[in-house]
Amino acid sequence: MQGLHRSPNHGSSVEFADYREYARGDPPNSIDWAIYARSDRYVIRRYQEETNVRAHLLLDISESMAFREAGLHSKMDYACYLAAALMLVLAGQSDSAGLTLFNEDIRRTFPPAGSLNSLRPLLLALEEIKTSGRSQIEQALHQTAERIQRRSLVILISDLLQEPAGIIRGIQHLRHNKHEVLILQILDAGEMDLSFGGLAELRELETGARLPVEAGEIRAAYAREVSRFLDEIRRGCAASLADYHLIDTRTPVEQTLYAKFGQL
Amino acid sequence: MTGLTAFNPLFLSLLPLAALPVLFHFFYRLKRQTRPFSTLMFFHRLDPKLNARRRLREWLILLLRALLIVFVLLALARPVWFGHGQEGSVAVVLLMDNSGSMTGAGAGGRTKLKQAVDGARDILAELHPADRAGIVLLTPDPAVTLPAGLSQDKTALKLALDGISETEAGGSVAGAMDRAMRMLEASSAAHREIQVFSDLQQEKWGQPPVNLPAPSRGLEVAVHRVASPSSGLPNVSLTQVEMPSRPVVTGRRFPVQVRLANAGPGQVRVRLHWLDDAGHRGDLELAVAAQEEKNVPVTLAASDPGLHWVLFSLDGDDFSADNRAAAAFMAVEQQSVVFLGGAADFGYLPLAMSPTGDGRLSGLAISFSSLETFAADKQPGFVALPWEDLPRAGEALRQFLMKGGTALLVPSPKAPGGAGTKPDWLAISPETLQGASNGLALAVLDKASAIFDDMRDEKGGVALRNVKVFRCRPLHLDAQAAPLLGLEDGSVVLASQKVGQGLLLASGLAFDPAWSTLPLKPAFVALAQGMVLNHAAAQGSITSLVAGDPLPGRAGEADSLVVQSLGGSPLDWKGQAGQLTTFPRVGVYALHAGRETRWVGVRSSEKEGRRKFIAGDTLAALGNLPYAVDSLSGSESVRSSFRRQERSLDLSLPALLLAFACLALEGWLANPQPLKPRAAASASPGFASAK
Repeated sequence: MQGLHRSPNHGSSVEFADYREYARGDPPNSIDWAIYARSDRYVIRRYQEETNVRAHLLLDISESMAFREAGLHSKMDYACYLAAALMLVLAGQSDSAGLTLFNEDIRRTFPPAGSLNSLRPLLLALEEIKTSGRSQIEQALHQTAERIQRRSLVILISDLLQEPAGIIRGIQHLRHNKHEVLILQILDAGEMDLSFGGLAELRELETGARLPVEAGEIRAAYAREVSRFLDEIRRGCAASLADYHLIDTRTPVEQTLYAKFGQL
Repeated sequence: MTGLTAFNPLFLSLLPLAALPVLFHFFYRLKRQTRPFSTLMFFHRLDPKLNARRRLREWLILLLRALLIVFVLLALARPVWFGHGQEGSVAVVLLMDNSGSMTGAGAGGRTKLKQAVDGARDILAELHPADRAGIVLLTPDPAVTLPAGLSQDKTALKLALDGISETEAGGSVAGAMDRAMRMLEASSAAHREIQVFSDLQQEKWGQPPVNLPAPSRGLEVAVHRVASPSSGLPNVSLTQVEMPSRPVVTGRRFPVQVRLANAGPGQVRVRLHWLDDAGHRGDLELAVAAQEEKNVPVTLAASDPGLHWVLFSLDGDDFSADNRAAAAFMAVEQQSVVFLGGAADFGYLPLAMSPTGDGRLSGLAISFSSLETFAADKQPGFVALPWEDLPRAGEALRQFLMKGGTALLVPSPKAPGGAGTKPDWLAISPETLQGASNGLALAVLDKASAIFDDMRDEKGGVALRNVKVFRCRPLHLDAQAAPLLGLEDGSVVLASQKVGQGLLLASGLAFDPAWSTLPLKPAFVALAQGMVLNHAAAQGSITSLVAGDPLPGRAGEADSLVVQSLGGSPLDWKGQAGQLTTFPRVGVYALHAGRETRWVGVRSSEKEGRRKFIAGDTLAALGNLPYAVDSLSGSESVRSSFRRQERSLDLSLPALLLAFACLALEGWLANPQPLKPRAAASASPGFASAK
């Protein structure tokens, strides 16, 4: 079954893509003789190969994903809804989608499924997710890059609350292996700006570490630091040719799908 | 007084309150809300030492809050650093404790008062020409002339100090402090002080003050404790002289109860002396056991009518200022008793009233007369007449009673007849003669009546027991009459009725052994004489006082008053009544205010002999006054103490300023400025631009 998306691979197909100069080793039957007649140059005609997309969804299930303050859902629930919707869309377009759940290690992996029936185990797994542990995004990306042999679309759904440098290294690893990378960073508005006031003792979900803070004293600097962090992520993704989207959990999932992935 | 001294040491005991902020900190830490948060990464990126910085700030705030409490308490405790600071003119009041306890021996054998005076003289010697001083006595003493207010005349002040002598009185600390503070109020000196010299007897200085005025700003009180070494010898106090409640009759001996108390741990033998106004002396040696209160009866007599006094004193014990008492009493003339009738009409009554008949023993002179003579003689006195003669006495008897006389109606033992027709004004009437062969017991119906006063035992009961009545004429009483004696069957046999200013006594008993055993009892003599003396009136007003107690019932304070000493410690004084507040020594004094004269008998204060002295530095009697206690150990110590006091640095203000500094610093730390962001590269607007 042919998919509706362009394959990242070029080959012989019916849809013209572009030209390139002939090189030794190219099959002679691929030379465009008409051009040779007009320009006296050996040019190879290239076609866009239409194949079905193989997508791998990497879903962060660490404890930090359980946070919810201003959003409609917790980040985990939101990520699950988003992942399920993407898988259904892909399957509906005759593409296939696989699923990998990770925190400090890869916990579960489902091979790509291309039909609604075969997606059932993946969807059930999404329903059963319970957040736990600390996330190691870079390690998960490296392992995924090593595990996926065929060029694929890798979709990372996470809050990316780690040092950006490691995450970018993981993305670059995937890109080096010819995979397309889509980064979906899900954050709660309460993480972007401190919504509480006064003195509070914060407990980090993943480590249990505590920190007393005076919100009024630190609010502005905190917002600035978050912005700086997001900027680092965004720049890293752009430099690595990875698509990046920041998603606010206050936005309904369907609206996010339409706004971000209408062209999918 | 050395170095650093707190005038309100009570606040120093509150210093543990400085731990309150720490307790509150831990309490609120337990209650502080904990918020789950996705990551602390941004906080650590913002400032890796944010937590440590915050903890440091919290502990600094705690420290500052604790220091704030400490400094506030220190400021309230009024710490003063003596020997430092600026020197200026001094206004000082020397408050001398001249109460009775100061007559005790101090160190070196001198009296405590003498040591106190020497200490005060040392302070006078330290005064500079610009300084002023005044003297206030704990017990006002009209015999001592003191400079009015503050004075720069050292010579006059020293003379006044030399004139202070021992008293036998207690004193009011609050009153003396009030007078001292009033004296200082008008002063504009840089330092205002009250220098107290006292043995700090618990009785006066250990009691909470009553109406102690609030201290004026800048006032300092230095208390010099005069040591009270223990002699180990016991002390007996003369605590009371109980005079007869009724007027003393000239020529009649009367008992006086002198009460002694030994509060010490061992028995002591003392000798009680007395001396009356006629020069009659007496003494009695007696032993007073440990912790015993002993009543010593002393029999006295007055030879003439009018005011008399007697002075009691003790010797043989260790302390003398509680050993004297003066009592004044008024003697009336011999009482005349007229029996209207023959001696046989009254049984043993004339003999009981006056054994000799002329009043030499009892003060009652008896005579027998006829009813006709009585009608011509209507002077108030005492008459006795048989019930049978009542109809004939009639209106003359009523007039006699209306003028204040006392009459006794008694049945004749010879041949008791009827009383005839009862006058309208009489509320008592005898019934027919009744007999009881076995006798009926006699009972007292009104134990409070004054006619029984000489029959009372130590507990106040009336000693009239085992009297049997064989014959009597029971009395019928109307509402105006009061029963005095009755029989066991309820019959009344002796009653009284007030008639005008006089008193009518009516008996249903003839005072004859055939009627009852009463005439055979010793109590009969007391009863018979009590009936006469009950109504004897004394002229003049006599007040008994304890030395140092305020004089009650004074005339207008601006009225002129002349005090004349009659016996005991001499005091001749003249001035405005308000200036004489108390008598400091034992004696009998006549107080003449205009035409009115009254007499005061003063005894020593037994409280002065109590040997409990405050050893610590807390004087309850000074209340909230700023004071410090120091031991009086010699001239040099007083002088150096005064010099230090003269140059003193009040640390209250620095402590208060430090408290304010802590408060300001705490406010600054507790409300920090918002944390500045790190130097930013390029800011990203977050969700807004990401969408």
